[in-house]
Amino acid sequence: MIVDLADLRYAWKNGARPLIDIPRLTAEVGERVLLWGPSGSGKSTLLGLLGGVLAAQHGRLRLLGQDLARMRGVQRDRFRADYIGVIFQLFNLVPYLSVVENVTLPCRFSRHRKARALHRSSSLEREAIRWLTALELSDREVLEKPVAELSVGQQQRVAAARALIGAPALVLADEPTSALDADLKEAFLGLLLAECAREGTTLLFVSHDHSLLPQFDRGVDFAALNRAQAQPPRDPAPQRRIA
Amino acid sequence: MVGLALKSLRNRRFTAGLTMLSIALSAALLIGVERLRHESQRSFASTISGTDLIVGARSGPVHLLLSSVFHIGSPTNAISWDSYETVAALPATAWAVPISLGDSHRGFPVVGTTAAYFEHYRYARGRGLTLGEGRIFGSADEAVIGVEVARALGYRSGRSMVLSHGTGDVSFQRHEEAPFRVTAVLQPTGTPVDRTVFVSLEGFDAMHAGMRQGAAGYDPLRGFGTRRSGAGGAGHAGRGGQEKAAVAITAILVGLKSRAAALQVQRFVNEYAGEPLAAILPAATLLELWSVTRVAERALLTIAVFVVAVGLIGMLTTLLTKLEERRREMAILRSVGAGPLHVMALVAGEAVFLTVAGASLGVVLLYALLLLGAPALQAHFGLFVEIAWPSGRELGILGLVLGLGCLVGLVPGYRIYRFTLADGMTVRL
Repeated sequence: MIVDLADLRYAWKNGARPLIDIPRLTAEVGERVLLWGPSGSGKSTLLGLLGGVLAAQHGRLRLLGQDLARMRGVQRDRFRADYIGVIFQLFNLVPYLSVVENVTLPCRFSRHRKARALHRSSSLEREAIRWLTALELSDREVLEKPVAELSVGQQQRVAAARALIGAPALVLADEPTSALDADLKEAFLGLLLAECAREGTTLLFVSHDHSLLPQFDRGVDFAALNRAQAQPPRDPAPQRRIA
Repeated sequence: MVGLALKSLRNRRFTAGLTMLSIALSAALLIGVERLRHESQRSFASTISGTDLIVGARSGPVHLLLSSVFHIGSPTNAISWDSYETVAALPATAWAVPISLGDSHRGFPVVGTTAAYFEHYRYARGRGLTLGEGRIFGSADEAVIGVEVARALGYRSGRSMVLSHGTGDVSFQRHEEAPFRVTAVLQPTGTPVDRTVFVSLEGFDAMHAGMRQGAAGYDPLRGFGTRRSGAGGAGHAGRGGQEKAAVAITAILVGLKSRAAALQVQRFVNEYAGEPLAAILPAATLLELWSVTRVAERALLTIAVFVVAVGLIGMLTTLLTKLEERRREMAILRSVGAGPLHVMALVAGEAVFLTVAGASLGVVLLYALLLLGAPALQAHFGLFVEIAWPSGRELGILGLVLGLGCLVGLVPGYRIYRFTLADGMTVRL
């Protein structure tokens, strides 16, 4: 089991109202899971917990058999670098790096992923181009552009290549298609799902878009899953400003 | 990480370059002020190495020191040859060199003295003067010149020169009839000697006589109009051991057999009944001079410190204003495995890099300025700046600037640390 969490609770700080309260969630090796739910239901918070950026106060959070809840911050960072790829909704790329440098970025932080990337290709650059080609982005012209000049669809594919390089066991995707129009959405999702299937990578894909469900192995209604989110808490700061 | 930081900086090279430049300039200013302070003191102190006392007419000690050794300001009044002989004959005196001041040649001071000057003058911890070529002046129409004079005016041994009266660059009267011949050029010393024309006391006085003659139309042979009593011929005609009594001198450089006698000799000179004289201890007088200039030095140093502070605050402002934009970048780095401390190091490291690079550039700038500006400093202020490695004190100042730069870097570093803890991987700006 790649993902195995039970009775997981997380609050912004101890004693506050929990944002996440999930009795159980699992994902098997190679399984592609859609977590759908409205925005503000805590989906991004869950991704933060899975990515080891946030630390849960209570419960079990096992990834690849290791309990993230028992790790210290630095260990969780290392774990994320080695085993997890992440795709954001927007602004996935570091503006001062080239397309290829953006793809190979995880290899700078993880020797493990670097080794696995080099296991497949003779150089990191070649491995990056291999992934970009798999995601139908091999045009020399595109590769040499500054990343800020790429279209959103191209940027998302570069982000997918970055998430997949070095064969992480788990890819977390946070609404990566919501900025794409329908055609591009189809194309991007198709490529991402196909590559995850081929690599045997587990994919947790978070979206508010329920219509994507048929393309996944399984879907989870996040609003129903997360007991903490009857009503999303409001940020108190703006209220004070209004008053 | 370092590669990332450098690429990120290269992406913002314009602002980063400006920040670096402002730090470079401020560091160069701070170290430059310290360097000039140190160099001026060193240069002054090394100029009078070996001279235990300076005797002259009564005036302020600083005035006597500056005019007699550094040719700065107007010369003090003349003193009599008798006084020189008295001082020279004191049992404690090892040597005494008379000097006459007040004339110039095309902006370079002319000093009348004796051959003993070249024997006893010491600079830079006991180094003596050496003649590059030729010999010391033998007669009243011969001159020895410093290397700067030779370089600036293109003089060599054997060349004739006309000396004029007055300390300014422009003299209305030139004594065309009595040219001097250069017999030697001195080796460089890095002291005011390099900018000096040396003639014999007789030659110096002959200039005066010639001037008087030219100005008033008197017959020099009658010796009319000379200030001193004694032998009559102060002009070109009368020269010899006896005639020296007629020569005016401005100051006496004295070397003692034992430094311990300095205060005793000083008291004797100060109480000398023949005429009002004053003796100064150069080292003590220099300290007096530094105590006067210290206020200005402190003010300069304070200004320089504030300029450095402004440079560092400028860097802080640039780093902080860019911080909001960079939260997204940091979220991406976190997603690929960077920890909050990584991110902090990335931002704080930038400040460190900018400070180190800026300070290094500042040192390079300073040395370039010193190399380019040294001749001008020498020509206009008589200040000889040695191009040396940074002193311990300067390295200390550099270290302090670097330390402050690192501290400044902690501010944006800490802020981004807080941001990354709060943002995690979910920045949506």
